[in-house]
Amino acid sequence: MNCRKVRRCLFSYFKDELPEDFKTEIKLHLEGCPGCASEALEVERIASLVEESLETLKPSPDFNQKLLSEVQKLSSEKVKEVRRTAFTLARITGFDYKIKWALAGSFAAIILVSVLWFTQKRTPLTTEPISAEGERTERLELVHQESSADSAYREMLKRLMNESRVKGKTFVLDNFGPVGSRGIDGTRRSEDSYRRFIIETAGHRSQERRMGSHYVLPVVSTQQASVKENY
Amino acid sequence: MAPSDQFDSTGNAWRGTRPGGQISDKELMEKVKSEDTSAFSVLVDRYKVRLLNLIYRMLQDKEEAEDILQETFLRVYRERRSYDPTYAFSTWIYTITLNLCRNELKKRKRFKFFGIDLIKNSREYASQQVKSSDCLSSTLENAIRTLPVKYRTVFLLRDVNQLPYEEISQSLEIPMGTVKSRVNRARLMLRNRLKPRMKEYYELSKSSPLSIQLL
Repeated sequence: MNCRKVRRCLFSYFKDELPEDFKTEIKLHLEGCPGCASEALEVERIASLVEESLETLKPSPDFNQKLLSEVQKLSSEKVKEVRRTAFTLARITGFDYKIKWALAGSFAAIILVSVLWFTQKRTPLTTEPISAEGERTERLELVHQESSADSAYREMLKRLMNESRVKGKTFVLDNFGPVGSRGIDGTRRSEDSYRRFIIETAGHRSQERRMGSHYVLPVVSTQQASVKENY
Repeated sequence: MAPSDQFDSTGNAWRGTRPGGQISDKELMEKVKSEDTSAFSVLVDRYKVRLLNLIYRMLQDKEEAEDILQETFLRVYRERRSYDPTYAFSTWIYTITLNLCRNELKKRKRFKFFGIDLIKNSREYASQQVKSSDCLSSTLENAIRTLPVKYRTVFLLRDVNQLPYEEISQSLEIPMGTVKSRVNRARLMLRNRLKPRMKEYYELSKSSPLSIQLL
């Protein structure tokens, strides 16, 4: 255990991020090495400085109030919009002197708005993925004699992909442990079968990539082939 | 005191679990999906302090920070139905927060060329420098400020907000290995910037019983 290595790991040591045996090695080294020990003291001070003496900003006292009034506005805006649309519709169709028809118009408008609302809000932070929806469905139909658990799993993957909040190009999948993976539907599968599901569902052009204990899957089109880092 | 809010001494103790009857974030979001605004308020109270401080340290502007904080929560509400409980709620809200911060930083970059940003920044910067009575903590603040964005982000998430590596990786959409190495780099940079100050501070405080405001 040389000094250079020890000094590199000091912060992690004090943050308790190191495995036990490694920690013990460092501890022993520090006991016998005054140079590293004084360095360690400094790092410990910095670590506690970060934890304890940063100024904590508080939001202004009326923050919650202001926020909630904005939230109310959101819901009331929707209602106003619907009513406006309904009356406009009624006027256009020439039935504005009949309350019955105005009601029917507003009902239709509500349906229209809610359909738009629900379909729009699927991918809020991203643009729609460019990947071919048709292509995916096609691929699924090629697979015959699937168990119901398997098709349920496939459905979940598809849903995740459609609802992916990630830039329309990747999504994070499951927790992948050391001994088989527990999929999002709670069943255990081998790494290979897991990979097979992902590739089959996402399309043959997709490239899987491990990110820690997750699979990140770029659902690619012909143009885009890599995951962009944002930071 | 580290920026953690009243419900949460370690920073993330109440995420997704139900210790001693406390309702989990996921359960609250289920209620928010049905437009339960009091459940929404609970979530707001849980996250507002640590998010505000994160935004502030990313953008260095207190007023702006609060605007972005409000926008974050509005987005959470507006897009409540698309929250996927497979992920921790904290992952989701941090993603939203950081996206908004990133957009704001991009916006600023554009204005920098016209000198608008410079005036604002220098005034802000000057007032920040002298602010804290505890000089070591203001030194720390300045040191954090000088970290490049990539490193500052992960450092704030990990060492200030105590977000687990897993969630940082998901929120930022970068591999865990990258997160770890950036955190290490950030810590190293910080150590180097603080080294000279720390030495002075501790040397001097050793020799004199009075509190010193030289730094």
